[in-house]
Amino acid sequence: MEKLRVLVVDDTTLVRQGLRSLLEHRERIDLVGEAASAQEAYELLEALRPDVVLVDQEMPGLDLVEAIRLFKSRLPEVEVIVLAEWADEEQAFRAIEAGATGYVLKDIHIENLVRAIEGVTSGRTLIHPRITRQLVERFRLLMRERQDQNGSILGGLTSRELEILLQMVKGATDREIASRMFLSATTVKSHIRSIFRKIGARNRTQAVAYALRNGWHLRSAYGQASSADHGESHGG
Amino acid sequence: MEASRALLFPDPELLDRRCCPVGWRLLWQASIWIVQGIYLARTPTGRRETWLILTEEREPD
Repeated sequence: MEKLRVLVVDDTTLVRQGLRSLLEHRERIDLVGEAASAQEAYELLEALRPDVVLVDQEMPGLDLVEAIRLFKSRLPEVEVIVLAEWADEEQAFRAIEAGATGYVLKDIHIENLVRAIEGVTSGRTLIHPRITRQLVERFRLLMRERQDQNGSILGGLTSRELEILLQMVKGATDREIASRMFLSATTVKSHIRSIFRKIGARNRTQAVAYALRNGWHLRSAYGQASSADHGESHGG
Repeated sequence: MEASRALLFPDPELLDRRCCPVGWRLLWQASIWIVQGIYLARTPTGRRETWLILTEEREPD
């Protein structure tokens, strides 16, 4: 059986080594290389010709979506799977839109990561079909609720963007927001650009004015988003 | 007790709604289900299917 050639891209040595030790003895996987940045990975693509690139959601130098587009432009058939430390729905959607095959959290069980890398479906579902239908229905309901909120209250902002916008209202600088939310300054800047785009603001002042105009709705929506982010269930 | 599952989502409904529910938690039948990933698997015929990777966490007895 031909092995799948995998390239790992992460700026943390420990993560790269951890993935190597978890994946290198797999029957169907051949870890052909590692890169510490998207730029380095891009330069290795032609020489290594991986089938799958596992890429960190946040790398120095290059935005994730930009990196995925670059990888796909150089090697269109390559499958890109994003390894995310924290879940960001907007980023996940943009990554998939840019050509990523998957977006998975780093604390995923190794067998599921392998399954994603191998892209195995074979028409098999691992949950009983009856439960599958009910779970899908549950997701549909939650999706509708989310969309209603996005359309009427949140202006399409994700819960993280909303949280950042509220920090901006409080007068926090990018650095302070990054520190309070345990994010890098680059990530905060990227979220702020996304907020500006979604609400049609040209600068921070306009964004804060938008938040104040919609203050009551934002506060109530923030309550929902925040509780969802911090572990409460979406349904029952 | 914890178990991981993969859920096939009717394609392409999820992405048509611009929805990537990674990180979502939902309570269902006394379990908390956490979406740990989304991936577009390729079937033997080359068609793409949307899968969600779920971890089921049960409350300790």
